[in-house]
Amino acid sequence: MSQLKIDTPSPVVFSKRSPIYRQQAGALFAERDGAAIALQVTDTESRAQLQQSALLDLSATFRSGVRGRTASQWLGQQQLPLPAQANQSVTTRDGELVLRLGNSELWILGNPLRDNSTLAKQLQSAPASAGCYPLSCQHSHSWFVLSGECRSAVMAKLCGVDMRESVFGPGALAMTSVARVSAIVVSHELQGVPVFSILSDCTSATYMWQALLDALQEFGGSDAGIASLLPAN
Amino acid sequence: MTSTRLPAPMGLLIDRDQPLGFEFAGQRYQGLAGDSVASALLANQRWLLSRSFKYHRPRGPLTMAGQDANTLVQLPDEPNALADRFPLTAGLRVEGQNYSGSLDNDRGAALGLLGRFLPVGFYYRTFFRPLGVWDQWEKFIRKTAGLGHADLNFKPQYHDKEYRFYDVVVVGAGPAGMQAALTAAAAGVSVLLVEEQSLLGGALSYHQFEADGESTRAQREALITQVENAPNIDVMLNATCNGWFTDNYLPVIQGNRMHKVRARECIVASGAYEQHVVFRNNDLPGILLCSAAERLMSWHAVKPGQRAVVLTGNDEGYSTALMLHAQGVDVAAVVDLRPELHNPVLAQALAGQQIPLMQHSTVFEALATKGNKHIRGVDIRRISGRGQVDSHSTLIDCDLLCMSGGYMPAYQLLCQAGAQLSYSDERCAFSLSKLPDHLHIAGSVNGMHSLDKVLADGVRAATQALVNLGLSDSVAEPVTCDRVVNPEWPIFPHPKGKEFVDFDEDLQAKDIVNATKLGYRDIQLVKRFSTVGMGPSQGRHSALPTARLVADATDRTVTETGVTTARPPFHAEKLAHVAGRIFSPYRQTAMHHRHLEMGAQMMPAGSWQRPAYYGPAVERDRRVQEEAQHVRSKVGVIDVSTLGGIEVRGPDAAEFMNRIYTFAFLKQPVGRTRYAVFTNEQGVVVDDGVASRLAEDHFYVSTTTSGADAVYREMTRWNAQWRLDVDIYNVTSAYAAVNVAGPDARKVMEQLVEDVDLSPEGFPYLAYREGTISGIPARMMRVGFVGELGYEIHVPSSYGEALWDLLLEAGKPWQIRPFGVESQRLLRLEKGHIIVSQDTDGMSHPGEVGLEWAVNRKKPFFVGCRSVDIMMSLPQKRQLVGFRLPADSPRPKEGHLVLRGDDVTGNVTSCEYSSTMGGIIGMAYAAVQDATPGSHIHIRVDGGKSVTAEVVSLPFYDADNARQEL
Repeated sequence: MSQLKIDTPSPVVFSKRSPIYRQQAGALFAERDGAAIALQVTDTESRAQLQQSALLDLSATFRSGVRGRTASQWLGQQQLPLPAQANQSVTTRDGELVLRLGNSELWILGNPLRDNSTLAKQLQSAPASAGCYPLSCQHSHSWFVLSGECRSAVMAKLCGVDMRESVFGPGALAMTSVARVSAIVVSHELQGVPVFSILSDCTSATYMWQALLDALQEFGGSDAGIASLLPAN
Repeated sequence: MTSTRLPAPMGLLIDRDQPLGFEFAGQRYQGLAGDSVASALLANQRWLLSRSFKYHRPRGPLTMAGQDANTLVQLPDEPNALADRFPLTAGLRVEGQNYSGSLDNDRGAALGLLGRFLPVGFYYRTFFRPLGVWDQWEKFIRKTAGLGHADLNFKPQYHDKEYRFYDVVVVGAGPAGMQAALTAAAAGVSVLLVEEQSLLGGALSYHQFEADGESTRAQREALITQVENAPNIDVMLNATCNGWFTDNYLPVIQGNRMHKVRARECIVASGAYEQHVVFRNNDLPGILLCSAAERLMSWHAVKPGQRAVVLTGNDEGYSTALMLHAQGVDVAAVVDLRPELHNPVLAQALAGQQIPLMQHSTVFEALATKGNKHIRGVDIRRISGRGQVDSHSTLIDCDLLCMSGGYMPAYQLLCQAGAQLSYSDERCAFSLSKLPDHLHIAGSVNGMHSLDKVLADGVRAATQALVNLGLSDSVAEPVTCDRVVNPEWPIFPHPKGKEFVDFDEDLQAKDIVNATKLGYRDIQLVKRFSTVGMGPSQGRHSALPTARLVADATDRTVTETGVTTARPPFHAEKLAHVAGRIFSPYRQTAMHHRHLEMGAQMMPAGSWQRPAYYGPAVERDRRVQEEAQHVRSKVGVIDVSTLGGIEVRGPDAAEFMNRIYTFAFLKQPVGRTRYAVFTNEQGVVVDDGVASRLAEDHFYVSTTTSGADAVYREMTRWNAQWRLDVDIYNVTSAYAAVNVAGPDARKVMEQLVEDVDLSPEGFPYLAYREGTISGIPARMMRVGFVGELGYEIHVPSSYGEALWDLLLEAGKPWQIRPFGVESQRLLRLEKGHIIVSQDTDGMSHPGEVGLEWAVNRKKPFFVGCRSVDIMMSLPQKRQLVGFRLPADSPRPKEGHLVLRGDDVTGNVTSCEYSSTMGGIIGMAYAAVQDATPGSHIHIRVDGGKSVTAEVVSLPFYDADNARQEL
């Protein structure tokens, strides 16, 4: 696993930017897939906080997708696993997530804790064939992660889907409305921490970020960086 | 003021070590933590809490459970708080409400003397004539009738909502509810137990089901221990299930949050409301329900009086008398409405305590202290017939009268679910039947009135729920209870009246009867005419006596009479609960913060936030003109990321485009753009955009800002029929876009683009190119919306802000400046370009708005083609025209009418002063006869003035399109 480069002082150094980088002003950023990702937002961050409740912005992390009648075949050609059915996700051995949004739409989310340039090159060099069309989910959607034990309770304030662990465990995926914005919610683990990944329209990213933070406050949660999830921690 | 409390085990809710000071009606009192405002006041012998709505009669608590309007008080920032529910806090300041003068000396009480002149329906029958009389009285009546006052400086509190999901939800944590929850939980299902009060137990928490109360306490503790130890039971106290909606969707309000609960099975164990007895002065402070006195003692350790009379129509009143006696209250008599003795054991217990029992008798009148401020005694008579009494009177001094006129099931949630209420003459009570699937009923709401039956009914209901969940195959045996707890006719009219049926609305027995005499025989009409049941307690105590009175007066059965419709909410609900945390999503482009940093005035465009112009609002006109002039003379840049973007990909992409849009797209060359007009099936122009052909099988088409979702939806809908081999992908959010426009636009672009030939020949007007801008992948189009050399650049939205920064930096030598939507609107107006939905309406077909050229009449089909053909073959009545006015003319506004004589022929759709054109320019719908350039149209502007504008040909600016094709 590659080490983060911590010599990148500001997200605006990069042309590619998260839609909410300003919301984490003062954070320590690092490079991830050609953009800045918050490494640490406060001095007191810890893995324990993430296990309790925290909100992370992974929008910088590589992601791609395809759809069409031959999308599943294309995925197989890329040596990536196909979730058994729609509305499920699979985590690969390398920590990537494959989302199956329907019978013919697949998203691949890079591992936010490592560089994904190899994956990006691999997918970009595998052009879509007839009946398989690339998707711009890297730029159309923001990617936030709601971590910890309180995640279901937080989502219960924002979303009408039952996301308790017993019914929305790892691998579950819902295309739903969160705080009145269309969103994809994926239940999975990040370095052993149970999380929900929330992918929603990037043009509403600031609104969504603030709605999530607002809901999180009741549980003592706040935004955080990915540093405490890195293997060294 | 002194405060004395009963010893433990009385006082389940209070903490005797935590005194709390507070104020009521300007006087200081002391209560205890765990008190409600009302219990703390009663502990201080303060009984007068409020004044009644109509006659301003003194009122004290009736139920001590938040079920009546007698305890409505004014808090600093909230009127109509229930004093018997609102928890006491240190320093709380409480006032009475609905009085004139002071709560203790209310001048409005004189209205009671005028009662005979204020009959039922007084307002309806009095203030409708002569015409206008209501206007005279309304102010006075509103002032007189208002309850409490709203604090207009109130700072809204945070309220929100939460979704919850359970296998079984039990409403009511009395013995039936707790037993049902435990039975369900034992099968391993998730259970939510909702309780309105602040403690578990329901009647077990205050009522003695046997003479000494010991086994009741033990039973309650055992049930609570089991509930608390059950890991799969969630308990919500102080929580009200405020409605029942289809499929067991239950809004449960607790504190500032509304929980939207989904239950696979729902068990309602909501209990039953103890009823009052209808006799003269039954509303005096010091008269309360038996259960209220028990709550006062058991929950708050408050001794409710020194000398009591108990008036009852069931055995429960006997228990109340014994409990009062045990707590040191001198019980002067138990007055039983029933002719026969039903429970010799309890009667013996009374006798053992030397408590006199008066059978087949009633309180005919409660006697009041001065000003009706408290009860001082009762006039007891033997019952001689239904509602009739002997003339012989027995007077007993007392300061407390506890009454129990039977029970009414808490039917509201169940009736909301469609359950049927039926009245049994034998039991003198209502019962519920015909519940929908997955909704169950248990306990006293189901007519169970002995503890063993109540518990058995809880087991039965839970078992049935488990059967429905597939977790049990037991047969849920029905439970029956033959105890009769309701007296036949606890209503005793008095010649002097003031025997209240509905305390909320000051309605007496004769008011209900008189309503029927006036022809309002239906219970719903009685309600609306008399307002019975329309007060804050929503008929909890008035429904049963009203049904009886109406049935009697109209010679029908009580079942035939029924009760009025129960609708959500069950309890008063704040709008804040309904609203919750208001989610109002907004959309911002990738460059949003750059606009703010540059001083943009933002404007809404649907859910988008867009820069209108840059600079102070007071300089709006000047800034718009400056920005437009800058584009005309140098170069400007505008954020157009809000335009919709849709990709159409696949072998049938060209065919699809050809069917969707009016123009021809089959032969559109790759690398070229084409104007795309979208009409609906009625032939009305509903959207437009620019379609770029990226490849033989790939189009990228823009839409209007507000039309993106609708166009995408229509595209997918149409292709569900057509089954063409295309993929339709809404990429609006995936791309950020700008338009760099002005004579220097190419020079700016040349600073940044190295891999595209930007020369007029290499990248001509209406061409499409792909390249990079400082490494950012970009789609570029030569466009002319504002009428100047222009490049629309679309980049993945993550790069949008960087693109903006690059352009502004690269454009510095040419003084590039941003321009906003207002400026763009002026520029395109000068160029004569329409904005769909601004310059079109729900009737505009292409011919009316000068878009015939964008309609291919040779191709076999496009959406709306038949309608377009029909409308364009009909004689045209109006036409969108350009008009001019001198600079010093009053400026028409959008929407101003175009008149031809007295006839309205159209309206102004766009109008602005143009410094480029040196005058006012605009577009308007005009009669066809006036559409020829050189004609004049008359526009009615502000103030009713009319201005005459000259019709001119469009565009106003650069008619030969030389500038955009540079």
